Amino acid sequence: MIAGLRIFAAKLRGSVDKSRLDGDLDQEMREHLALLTERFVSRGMTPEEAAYAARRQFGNRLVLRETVNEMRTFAALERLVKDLRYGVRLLARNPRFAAVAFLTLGLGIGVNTAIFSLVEGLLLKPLPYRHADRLVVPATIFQRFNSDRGSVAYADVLDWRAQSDLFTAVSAYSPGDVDVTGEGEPERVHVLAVDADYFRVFERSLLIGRSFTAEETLPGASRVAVLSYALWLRRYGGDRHVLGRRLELNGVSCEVIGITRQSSTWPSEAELLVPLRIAPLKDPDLLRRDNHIFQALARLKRGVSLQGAQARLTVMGERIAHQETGRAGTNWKLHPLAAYIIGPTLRQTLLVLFGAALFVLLIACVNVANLLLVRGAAREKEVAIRNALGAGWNRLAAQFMAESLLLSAGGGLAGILGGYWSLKGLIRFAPTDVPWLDRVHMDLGVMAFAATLCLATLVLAGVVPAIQAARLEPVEFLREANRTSSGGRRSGRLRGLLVISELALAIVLLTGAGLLIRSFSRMQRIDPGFSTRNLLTLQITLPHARYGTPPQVAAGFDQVTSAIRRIPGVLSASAASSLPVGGGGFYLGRVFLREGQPEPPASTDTNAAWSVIEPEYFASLGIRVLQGRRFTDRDTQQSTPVIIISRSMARKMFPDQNPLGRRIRSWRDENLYREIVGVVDDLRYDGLIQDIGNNVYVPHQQDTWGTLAIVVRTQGDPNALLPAIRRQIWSVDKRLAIADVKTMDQIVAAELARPRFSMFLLVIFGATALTLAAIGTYGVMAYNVEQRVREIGIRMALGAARADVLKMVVGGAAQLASVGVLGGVAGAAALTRLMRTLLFGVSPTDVQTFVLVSVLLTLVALAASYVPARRATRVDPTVTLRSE
Amino acid sequence: MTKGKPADLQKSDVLQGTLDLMVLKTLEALGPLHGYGVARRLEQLSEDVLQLNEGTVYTSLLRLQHQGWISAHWGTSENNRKAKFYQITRSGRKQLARETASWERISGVIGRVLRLAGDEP
Repeated sequence: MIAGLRIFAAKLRGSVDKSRLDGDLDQEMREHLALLTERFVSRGMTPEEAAYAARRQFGNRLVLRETVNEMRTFAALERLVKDLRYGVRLLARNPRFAAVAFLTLGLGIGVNTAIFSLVEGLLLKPLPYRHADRLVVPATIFQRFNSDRGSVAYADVLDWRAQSDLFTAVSAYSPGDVDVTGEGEPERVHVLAVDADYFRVFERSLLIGRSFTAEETLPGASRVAVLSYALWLRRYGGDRHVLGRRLELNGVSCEVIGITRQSSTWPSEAELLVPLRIAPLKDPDLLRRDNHIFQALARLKRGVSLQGAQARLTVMGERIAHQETGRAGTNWKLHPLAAYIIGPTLRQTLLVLFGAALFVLLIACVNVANLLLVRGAAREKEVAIRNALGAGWNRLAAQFMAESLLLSAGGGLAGILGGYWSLKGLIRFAPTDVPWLDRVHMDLGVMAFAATLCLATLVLAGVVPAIQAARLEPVEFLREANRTSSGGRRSGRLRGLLVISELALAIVLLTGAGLLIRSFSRMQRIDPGFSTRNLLTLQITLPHARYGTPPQVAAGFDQVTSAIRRIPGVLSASAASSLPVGGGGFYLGRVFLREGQPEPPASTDTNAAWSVIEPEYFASLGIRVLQGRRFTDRDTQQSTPVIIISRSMARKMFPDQNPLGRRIRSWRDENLYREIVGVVDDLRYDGLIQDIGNNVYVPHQQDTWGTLAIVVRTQGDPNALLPAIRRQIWSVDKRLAIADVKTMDQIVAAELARPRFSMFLLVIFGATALTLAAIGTYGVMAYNVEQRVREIGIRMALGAARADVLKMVVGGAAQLASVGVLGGVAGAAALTRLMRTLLFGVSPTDVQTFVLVSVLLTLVALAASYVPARRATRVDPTVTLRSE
Repeated sequence: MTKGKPADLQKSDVLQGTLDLMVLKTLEALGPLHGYGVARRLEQLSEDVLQLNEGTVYTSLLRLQHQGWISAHWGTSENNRKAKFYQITRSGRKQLARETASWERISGVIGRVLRLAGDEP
């Protein structure tokens, strides 16, 4: 070790002081030879003989000098520098080759750098919370809805909290929106109503002030609120004397008691925290196991594994599912917080894109390897001569590798630059609902990844050509030179292999892109069930403080929608608790029984999404009423309870009967018989690409909600009417906050944003792959033709027609293409399974896509070979034969 | 990148350690010497049994220098020309003692073994 260090230091000294030490050695050698010569002269030799004998006895001075140099300096490094310099000169002499290679590698590395930045920022970086790996989200598995992210019952939370050997804290919370008024401008912010365990889950103290006491989380306690760091900065400019100030939340005055630390809690979009104010132990309704109205967050105890905790919860959940009614087909699932936030689809999308990007890089590497092979072949003479002059094959390979190193380093640099800009574009055009894009940066991790890619490209693209070129024996070269007519068979086969693999890789990528295109066009063709054009939506909450009774709320919304209807250009305006195609608001999932139907388990209830609507809702959306009537102003609290059901619901509950006039009840909740007065078309409430569920509608006058979505159908561009709409709303009550203003087209576009984005990226990758594959095929075919010019000339001299030559060249390409296509199709069939969750209405082995892509790629390969084939037919036999 | 020595030096690899040892011993016995002097002494001692390119002495000297067992300084040779003189250091003497002991032990063993083999008819 110490000896090694000493040698290293000596070498360092030697490198720095090289010229002086070289001079020293020369001086020593001269002196030695002089003395030796004198000695021989003194023994009677002539000076010439003596000098010769002295040189012989001393040995090869050149070799000695090199050996000493090797010992004294970092000779390998010096050689590398020399090789690199030579490489730079070669590249400069052939700028077109250099540009193509840099561009190809830059493309491959750039694409990967950008996508890896996303993967790192969204999947790999730890969350900003303390010991974030122990934060979990317990949720309900509803087999019926094919969901494992369902809300939880408070009784569940209490059960989990009792497992103190698993969790250090379990919190129930309920997200919502609240209008903040009082000091400053009114605004709507996301609020979390949390229990006392919430801050314990995150294990972070507040920046200033205190969190909620147990008493404050009970009903009737004095109102308090904790502000998020962001809201504190925005509304109070970071004023430290904010504690004790009062905020009006939906008209209720609350005292500010604390400020959270920056990004210390989740969900990060919640800017305000208020106590849950429930007393579950005194409220049997809250303890009902089927009352899934809370979200939960928990922290695993140190040393407890997710699997271990999950196993225990599953056993508990099974027991409860047996004991309690309404729990069949449910259990609990523990999501790691990070996985819960990103979600399986986004994760899968990122991984698919990452895989696709790696494929692009592979193709780029194959292309560059190809270029190098062709170039290596062109340099066979140089290599053979240098080999004959004594350069060992490892020395030659080293030089070729140095050139590849230049290429991959240059490509890497181009890639990092390109990746930086692509990442900017990616973030700019990414769907807005992707969480945490602000955590995506080209940081050190990404740079390290890019460097790794450079090394990988060096190995993938450089090694084979280097060995291939350097292995050439001079004898073999001479032999091959005599056989130019048949070309280098070995390297020809290698190039063919490269073309095949390139085509196969391109097929896999294009198949993926094709599947996404088809799936996206399926999505676009989904009929939302109503016209989304010229439809504006927004959310309004009538604060309980000023709208205390159901009639007041109903009248308030009626006034708002009536005022909007008076605007010229407004065709219709209405209100509903939730909007279709995932447009906002929310519905209640409830279960129904027909009149006279026995309660479960004697029979099965039917679930449906419960929305409350104003009478004009169906008219505003333009939904057909298939049977019966709409609601009217005469459906009031005093009149008969009524309900309108969707077509699917009618078919499910009354398969062979006319539902009109029949009565149903939501037996576990409202438990009131409502008369069916109408049947309407189905609507997709969960989102555009989700399955159609059962819907029921209840008049708002009979079930009033404080928060409703307003829908406005306009004659022209709805955004143009927005100022007028605001004015009209504020003419009713100027303290109302208007939130979530969106057109229905925007809502639909947002629904399609993610699939569109991933399709867009995969199409870009596919197009890149196709281009590279075409270039690669062209390059190899062109080279092959060049190599076979003599053979072709002979064939033509012997009577082969131009068509025969064309057939021969294109046929060769067709052979390669067919093998490549077969391999690609097999690879694609194996890999597209991984994107099943990203596909809508298309099977991962969609025959049409596979056939189309195969045909496309075969055609491209044939076209790429056609150009050189045409050149081959123009070979003049007399010219080529004479040139021998 | 590549590691390898010209062929004629590789052949003396077997002797390398021995050569170093002899050079070290020479410097211990005769005091400061230049490369030519070392070569002469080796020639004289080996009585033409050992054929070596005198140039290899310099690689041996460089190795010993790197190990810190000898030091070098410029001086004047017998015929008043500039020459580099090599001198054994204190750690060089220690090393020599160690090497000598181990050499004697090994050569003793080898000698015994060879004698044994020679005894058999």
